[in-house]
Formats: sequence, C-alpha cells, structure tokens
Amino acid sequence: MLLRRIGYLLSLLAAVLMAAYFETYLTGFLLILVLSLPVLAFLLSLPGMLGLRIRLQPQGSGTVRDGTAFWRLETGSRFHLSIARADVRLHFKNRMTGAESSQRLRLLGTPTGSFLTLPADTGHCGLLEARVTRLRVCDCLGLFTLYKRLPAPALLPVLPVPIEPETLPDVQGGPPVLNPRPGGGPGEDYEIRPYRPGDPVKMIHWKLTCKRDQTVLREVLEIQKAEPLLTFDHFGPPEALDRVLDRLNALSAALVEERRPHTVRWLEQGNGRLRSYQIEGRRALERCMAAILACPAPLQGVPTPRVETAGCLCYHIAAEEEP
Amino acid sequence: MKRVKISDWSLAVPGRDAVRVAVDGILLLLTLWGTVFTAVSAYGIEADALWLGSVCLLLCALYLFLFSWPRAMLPGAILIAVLWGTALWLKRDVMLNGALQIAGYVLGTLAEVFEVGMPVIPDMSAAARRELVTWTLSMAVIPLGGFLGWSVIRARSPALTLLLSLLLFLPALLAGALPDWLSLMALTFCYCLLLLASLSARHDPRGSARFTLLCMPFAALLLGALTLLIPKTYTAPQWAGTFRARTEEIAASLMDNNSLGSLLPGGAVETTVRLDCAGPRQFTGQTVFTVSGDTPGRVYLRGVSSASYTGSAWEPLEDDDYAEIGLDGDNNLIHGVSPFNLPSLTASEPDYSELRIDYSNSLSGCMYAPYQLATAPDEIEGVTFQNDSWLSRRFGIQQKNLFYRPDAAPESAMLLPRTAAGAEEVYRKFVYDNYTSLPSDFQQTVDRWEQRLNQILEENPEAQARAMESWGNVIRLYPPGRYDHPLLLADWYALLLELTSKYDLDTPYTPDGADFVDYFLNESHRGYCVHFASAGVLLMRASGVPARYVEGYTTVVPKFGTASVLDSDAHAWVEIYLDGYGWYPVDMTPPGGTGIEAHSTLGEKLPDEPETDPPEDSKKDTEEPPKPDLDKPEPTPPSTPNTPQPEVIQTKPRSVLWLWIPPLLLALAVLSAQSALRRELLDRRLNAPGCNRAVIAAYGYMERLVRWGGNIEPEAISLAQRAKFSQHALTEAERAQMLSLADSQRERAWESMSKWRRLLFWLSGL
Repeated sequence: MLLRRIGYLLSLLAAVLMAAYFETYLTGFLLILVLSLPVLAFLLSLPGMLGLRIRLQPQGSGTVRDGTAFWRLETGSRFHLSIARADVRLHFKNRMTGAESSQRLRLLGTPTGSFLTLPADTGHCGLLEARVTRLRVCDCLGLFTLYKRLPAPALLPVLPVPIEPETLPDVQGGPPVLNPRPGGGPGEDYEIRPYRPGDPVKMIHWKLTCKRDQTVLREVLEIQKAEPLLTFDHFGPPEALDRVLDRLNALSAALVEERRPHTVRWLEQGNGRLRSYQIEGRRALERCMAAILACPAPLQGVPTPRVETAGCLCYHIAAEEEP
Repeated sequence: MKRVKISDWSLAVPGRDAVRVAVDGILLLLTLWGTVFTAVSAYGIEADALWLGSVCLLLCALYLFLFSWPRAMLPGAILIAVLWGTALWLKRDVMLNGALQIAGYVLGTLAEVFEVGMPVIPDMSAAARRELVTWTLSMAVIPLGGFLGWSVIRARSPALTLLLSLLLFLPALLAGALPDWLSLMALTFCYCLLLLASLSARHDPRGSARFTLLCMPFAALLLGALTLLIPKTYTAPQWAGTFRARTEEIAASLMDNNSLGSLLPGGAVETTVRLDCAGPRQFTGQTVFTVSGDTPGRVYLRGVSSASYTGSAWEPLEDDDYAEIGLDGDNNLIHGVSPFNLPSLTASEPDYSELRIDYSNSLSGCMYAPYQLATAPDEIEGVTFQNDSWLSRRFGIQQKNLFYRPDAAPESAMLLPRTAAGAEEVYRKFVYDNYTSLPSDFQQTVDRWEQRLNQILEENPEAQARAMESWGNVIRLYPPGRYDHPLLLADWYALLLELTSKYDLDTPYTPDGADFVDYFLNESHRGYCVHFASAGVLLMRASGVPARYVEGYTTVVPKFGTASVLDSDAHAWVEIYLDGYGWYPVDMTPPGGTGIEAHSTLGEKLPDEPETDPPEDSKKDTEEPPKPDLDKPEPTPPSTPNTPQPEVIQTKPRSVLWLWIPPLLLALAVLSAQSALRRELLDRRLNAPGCNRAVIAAYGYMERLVRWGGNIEPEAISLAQRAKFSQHALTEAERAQMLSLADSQRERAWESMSKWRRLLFWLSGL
C-alpha cells in the first residue's frame, strides 16, 4: 500500500513536472490520465470491495488437547470478483487459560469462493476463540482502502484427552442409605412416622393410629447408593489444569457409562460463583465441559469448598504433581 | 504480516482459462502493435503498415501460444531464436543496410533537438528503402514481441512492459515528435489495463483476466473521453507556468545560497544577467509583489543594475572596485550619502511620497525601490544597500515602506547640497571610470548598424523626418544644458532602435558564440526590453554618457488600494548618469521615450498596438503549443559544393485502411472473449451442484434457443416444472436427460442456421 501510494505520487509528480516544463498536448493528456486513473480504478473496484464477504469458522466441532484442528477462512463475493488485496488481522484467544496471539494476513489476488486453513493452537484445554479484528480491502491499484464489517467470531473447544478413569473411593460399596421409596409400594424396610399434611391416606397405619391416639403412617424405605459430587479447583497452571480436566472428564464419563447421575461443582474464579452441573448423560457432560472450558482459569485462585451432605459422596480432584 | 498467495488457498472452483487466453491475446496484440506503430510514426519511418500489422498479428498468435502453454515455451523460444538468428545471419547485409536506413530516420528525428552525428546512409530509391525498412522492422519485431509477450503474459508486469515499449520511442518524444495518436492510445490502453489488474495478476491470473475484461470498455471510454474533451489546441494552464517559475526560483535560490534559508523571503538574488538565456518570453500572470502608495501614478521599481557587458551577460562590478570610494559592503556611504539618495536631494520641496511594498509572494531577496529614493540606509531596518547596485532585504522581511521624492526630477534644476555635492563628485569619477567601458569591436557593430539605418531612412521618408527632428533637438540644444543633451541623445537612440528593430516577445535565443547586441542590431533585428536596453546602454556609452543596465518592474500605483505587480510587468531599461544629479532611468524599448512620465505603457506590455505587422511566428504560437527550442535559430553553415543534397522523395499519402484493422481486431477479440465468458458461465450453471437449479437453467437456455430455431420438448417442460415447483429434488439422471435435450435442441438450431447466423449465434455465447 505504502509503496504503491509512493509510486503513484512519484508518477503524479513526474506528470506534473512534464506538464509544467513540456507544455504540449501529450503531457497535458498524460497528467489528466494520471489523475483520473485512480478514480476509474476505485469505481471499478468498488463493487468487489463492497461485495467482499469473509467468514471465519472452525474445521470440525472440536478436538482434544494436542489434536489437529484448523480455522477456516472463507472468502466470497456477491459479484464474483477476485479480491485485489485485503488485509486481515486475526486474534486468537483461549478463553480458559487466557493465552492470546494475533496474526495478520495479506490476501493478494484471492479468488472468490476459496478458503484458507490456519492451524489452531491445541496445546491446552480451553475454548478457543478466533476473531477478525480488522478487515481492510483495497482497490485494484492499491491506493484506496475500505474497512469492512467484521465477521462473527469462531469458537473451537479443545477437550481433555481421554484417559483411563480412576476409581472413586467408597463409591462402589459405600455406606447404604435408606431413603423413602418414591410412590411407596411393598417393601421389607419401613419406618413409622407421624402424619404430615399431604401424605397419602393409603399409607396411614390404622392399627397403630388407634393405639397411639395419633395419626401415624408406615413409609416404605429402600436402600440407595450415595450420589457422587465431583469438585475441582478451576485455577492453576494450564498444564496442571489440563491433567485435572483429563481426570474429571474420564471419571465423569465413566459414571455416565454406569448410568450413575453425579454432580460436578467448581468455584468460578473472578465472580466467586459456585457452578454446579448435574450430569445424567453424555450431552449434559458436554455442556458441563463447555462451561468449564469457557470459564477463565487464573494461575492463582480460591479453592472450591467441599461440602459433605447426606446421601452425597464428595470427591475432590486435586492437581497432581507432573509425573 | 504473512502474505498469503494463491498457492496457499484452496480453490473451490476448477479453473478454465479460455477468458484468460483471450484477454492475454488482446493485451499482447495491442501492446505489440501499439509499440511498433508508435515508434514508427514517432520517428517518421516509412514502412509498409499493412505488412507490419500482419506481422504483429502473426507474432501475437505465436507468442500467445508459447507463453500460455508453459510446456511449449522453452522449446518454442529456442526454436524461434535459432530461426531468427539464422535468418539474420543469412541476410546480414540486407539487415545491416536496413538498420542503417532506420538509424537515419531515428537520428534525423533526434537531430532536430540533440546534437547527434548522422551516419553515412547508402542512397537508394524510395520504394526500395521502404521495402528494406519494412523487412528490417519485421525482423526486429520478432524479439520485441517475445520480450513483450513474456512481460505481458508471464511476468504480468506493467512496469516492465512500459520500460520495454517506452525505450523505443522515448527519445522521439523528448525530441518533440508526436507519434500516431491511435497507436499511442492502444499502448496507453494496455498500460492502464495492466496497471488495473496488477495487484491480482500474479496470484489469481484467472480472476485478473476477468477483471481486465471488465475494465476494458471503461478504460477505452476514459481514453476516448479524454481525447475528445482535451482540445487539440492545447494551452498549458496557468498553474503550469506558476509552478515552473516557482521551482526555477527555488532552484536558483538553492544554487545561489546553498541553504534552505533562501527559500524563505529574503533569499538570494541573481546579480548576473545571462543574455544567452533571453529567448522567447512567456508569462504566467503570477503576482510577484504588491505595492500601494500615497502618490498615484506610474513608477519604475529598480532591482539590480549591472555594469560590465561580456557579450553574453551583464555582470556587476567586483567589490574591490568599490573599495576606492568606500562602498565596500559594510559602509555603503560616500561622505555620509548613498548614491541611491543623490537624486532625491535635489528636490525643491521637502514633501515625501510613501510606497508600501509587500513581498509575501516573492522568494527573491531583492528590495525593489523607486527612483529618487529618500530613505537612507540608516533609516530602514532589514534592508541593505548593496554598493550602488541594488537593495537587499533580510531574511523574514516581507513588507517595507519606502519614501521617495518624485518631484526631484532633472527638470527641477536644483542643486545638490554641499555635502552631497562632494559625495557626488567622488562618485561621478567612479562612474566615469567603471560605467563607460565598451566591447573592443563595438565600433564595427555600430558601423554595420548605421549602414542598415541609413538604408531604412532612405527608403522611409517619414522615418527620416522623425529622426531628423529628433537629431535637430539634440543639435539645437548644443552646447548642452545641464541634463538636456544626454536625455535627448537617449531619445534619439531610442527612436533609431525603434526604426531598425522590431519588438517581439518571441525573439529566439542568440546563437552560441554570437555577441548579443551585435546579433540584435545586425542580424535578428528583433527583440524585447532586454535587447533594447542592452543596446541602449552600449550606444549611450559609445556617446560618452555613463550608462548601466537595470532590471526591475514597472507598475501603476493606484489612488486607493494596492496594485499587484505581475511577472509580466518585469522590465529592463537603461540608467544614465547625469552629472550633479545621479542615475536616471531612460527606456529604450519602443515606443518609449525618456523618463518615467513619457511612457504610456508598462514593461513587456509596451507594444499593445504594434505599429508593424506582428510576426507570423507570434501568431502561430498563440494557436499551437510553443516550441521554443525549434525557434532557436542556428547559424547558417557555409554551404560547400561537396555536401550531398538530400534526396527529395515523393511519398504517397498514407493509406487509412490499415487504421481500421486494429480496432476491428480489438472488437472481434472483445466479442470473442465475451462469448467465451458467457459459454463458461452457462456451463457452470448447467453443472451447478443442485440438480433443480441446473434443470431450470437448461430450460432457460432452451427458451433462448427458440429464437434461433430451436424447440422445447414437452418432456423438458415437464422436467422444468418439477424442478421449479416440486418439493422433491431431481436426480442426476434427470439432469443428464435435460442436458441431452438441450444439446439436441442446440444441434437442431445450428443445423437450421445460415453461416452468418451461425457466426452471430457463436458470438452471442450460446
């Protein structure tokens, strides 16, 4: 651009000097031509410049850490005109680790309907965001520029690497807990308790009610296993966080395979909000992971509180030393 | 920044290069044809245009094939080079002879401006020369076409193409030759197209070709509009002259002072007047400075005066010359009086007139001053009296008020005060020592001039009467009074100069080596103020009156407001020294008389109504662009009997038939490219990913075929309706069926058409 503009100014200066010192028809013609050519070039390039469309999107829906992923930069034009030159400034960010980078591209003679693939940085887990921060398109002589509306940013989740899930302590044979069976029904274990408004009439134990002179009822109980609560600290070095997420993902996926609902909980750094996700299936796990990857994770932070509740087995996935 | 090129991109559309080849062909043809015919017409080479055009067309096709198919490029280029070299070797004598003939044309064109020697060219008949030149040019076009083809098709470089083609005819353009406009425009058209597609040409040749095709009509329209809108009787705009004057002034300042400070007001002044630069004069109307004052009327504003005449310049006295009277640059006073102030001291009345000069527009460091200056050196800040020659103003001074006494004219007959009289006596001796010198051979100049003068007076009784009357005045007042004699003598010389020379602003340059005044008085007999003043100074000196050459401006101070002093108000005149008074201006430029009041017109506008017929050259110059260099007279070379006389060749008028060939070919090429583009777009639509859209496009195509004799089958209508209105997508088999129907319709239409109709059908892209 700069060189072309300087070149044009030199040409204009030469034409002016020639017109001033050689006062002939030819030099006058040349000067007017030099003056009017950029106008013609701009007018001819204007449809292409206005009709330029650039779309940025990830190739595929996601990848695992250290996997192969690409950003795809597509060009298009409403008028099917080749782009003489366009300057694109791209900004990449990992929303979880906060790592940022930028890249500038100079598109020269880009045919419409073509695309360019750029490798994505999948070194750490997180939600990668690619954004076009500047899009400038030039006319065919490279003298005038037009700034275009920026396309929507593209997102690409980098998921944890699948590993062998670890065994939850006391989860398989944890202490049995008797809880009322929903809907009642027959059962060997039961408990007698006073009537509370709202209890079904069918459950009233009439004999004991007569004896105690108080309305009591028999509630059938059943043995239930404790629901795991998986917690982790959403901060720390990216490498440590990657390993935590690998373990969390593997453990949660194993629980989903066993059809065991569980909860994933972490403290969101920055706003101090306690985020909980009830995981009952594969899709819920994906949503949970997407939320984890999109949350910023600083190097230092507040640990997630570990709250033990009845019927709930809390398991904290702590960062390990690097093997 | 990463530069992304076409190799980094994945193309979604497969490439087909029909359009590209067509566009390359058009560009190469126009470039080659334009280059060859621009050069041929610029140098005035007589050649067979039809043959040369055919050669260009053939070479264009050959090189288009070579450079469009890379596999064929290297072997083809080698083969052509070998064949060309062999032919050149076999016909080397003929080619050498032809090259000499062409060199004769080229050097003949350049010899009008540049001093180039002419080679010995073998003489031959016009027809033979034409044939020889045509053959030689055809041989020369072969490598030229190769280089241009590589530049246009492979390198796609507008700069290289410009360089290759411009080198051939640039010397002719610099020599003032105007080439054939059509070929020059064809070449310019190509430059424009190559420039417009230059950014994308290397990385996306196919898209660039399409863009070039799009640009073609607009570029042609632009060039055509400029050709039509710019009048052929082109006159340079006013800014051009202003710009030129400004840059020359800046350049002169830089060369004089070697410092950037001189760019600002208060810069350097050229004190040497180069008479060899006195050629045809042109003015831009630029305002040099403005003046206002309390005494309206005409005023001469003197700049720099010069003392020594060298034959080609007026030069000032050296500083050492002034040392004996104390005018040494630091103290420019003689007994406390500056020579500039002597005339004002003779005033009978103590009244002053004031003149305000604004130099905002001037880069010169000269302070222009009126005569009878009353402002003394110690009464004005920022202005230095430079000996007795001129006044300079300091850096940054833009406005100054000067006081003068217009009533202190020689007619007032007042005497100088005693102190001033002593100073004048010292200065007078200095003046007689330094302002009376003459060239050694000036007497011969005067003698020749007198002969011509006598002849004119004998032939013109009226002029004789005027001269006798003027001379009578000189004689009648002899012995002279105090100032009468030199003033009347100046009047007489002014009259004689008017009788023997013509005032002409288009006076050509004095030939190198000739004495300026001698050439003016005895050879050219025409000139303007510089010529008249130079001659006047020497004539006055020859009569014993000290005189010097002065340049400055003349203007009229208005009663109210300010007057703009233009560059056309620049003037040169004579200052004569009047004993006991000082320097007094006399104007020798016709029809001027003596003294300020005697003039009715100003500066170079003096001959508003010339008494004689204006020269033919000046009339011509008002209609055509000025060609100062061409008007420069050359000294007549002595004719020797051995000099071969140039052969007079009766050339046939050029046939205009060949002029139609390039536009016709161009139109055909454009139509072909357009047709190819349409066919390509149609193919793309018919092979689009969606079957429904393809079938609808095929139906549209068949509808267009109806006009050419086609017919739409009911089956095709049914398929098109299903494609348009059904919710189900058609299959590939149905698309193929529709395409086969369209093909059969096309064949049917083709069979039913005549040959001319087929051509139209093909051109329409169906």
